[in-house]
Amino acid sequence: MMSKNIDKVVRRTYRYFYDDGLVEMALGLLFIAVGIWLVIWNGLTADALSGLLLAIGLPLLIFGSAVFFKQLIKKLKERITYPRTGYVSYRENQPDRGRWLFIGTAALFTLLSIFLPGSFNQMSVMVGALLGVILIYMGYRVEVRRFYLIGILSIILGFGLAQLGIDEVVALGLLFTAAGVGLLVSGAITLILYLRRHPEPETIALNEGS
Amino acid sequence: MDESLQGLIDIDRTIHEPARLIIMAILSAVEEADFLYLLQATGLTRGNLSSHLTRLETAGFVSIDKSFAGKMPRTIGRLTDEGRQALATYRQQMGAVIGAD
Repeated sequence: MMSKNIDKVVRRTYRYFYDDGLVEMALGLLFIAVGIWLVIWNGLTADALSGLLLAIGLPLLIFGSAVFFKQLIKKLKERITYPRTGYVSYRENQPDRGRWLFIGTAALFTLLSIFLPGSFNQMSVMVGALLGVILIYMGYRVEVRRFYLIGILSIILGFGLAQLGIDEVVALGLLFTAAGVGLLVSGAITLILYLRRHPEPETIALNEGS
Repeated sequence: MDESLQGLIDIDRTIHEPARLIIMAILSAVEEADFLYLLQATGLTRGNLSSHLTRLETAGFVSIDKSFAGKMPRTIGRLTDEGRQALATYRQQMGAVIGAD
């Protein structure tokens, strides 16, 4: 019981990272960028250049955006979150299966797009399911229930888009865009609720001398 | 004496106090956290939190850094290696005594 309570405190501390919705919004924007990229790429003529654009451009977009959003989230948290509910810095080297699940999925998707372009057949089902599993796992790990909803939405969308008979890459692009919009909206609502719960402090010091 | 009961006697009372245990648990999950976060997360009063942090710092389990964020003073707490080890030992000892896992 004691050990479970300590674990609960630890999980609540991890969950704080998502309390303001900023991470979801950034992830949503990243997904939307990937979705739009896929739709644009699909409109290009099938030649070596477009293949190269997908092979190099997509990983660059994903990792470039990840670096950019990491810095942006840090700045926004310094401005919005830390003055209201306090500053926390997480340990970089702690084991995080969710992070590896996300990186693994991104790597798998990139490799498939490079080596098996034909595998885009029913890709929206597979990617929708993977996104769903990752989001549901993240929701479970940090006890953020709203991630379950977006995860289930991704799985349903993946199946739904595959049934529409539209181009598979376009379906994949729409899946990422829709999941991104879901995350963006969820993050924005979370941020609004967070700001209402925690108005900007006027003169509260960030600490008291101990 | 039974080993688990001996473990109970050996339990570190600095950590055993509930408020300090919560502070240690929070700091074990992060690299560092400031006073405001600890205040919100523990629900303690400023005075109580301050005195528990001092106690943990004196025991060598927590290090405290004071700096400024702009014009605002900021106190940042970190769990030391000794503190991390002490928390792990405490959990082990309590687990052995009451099967807490």
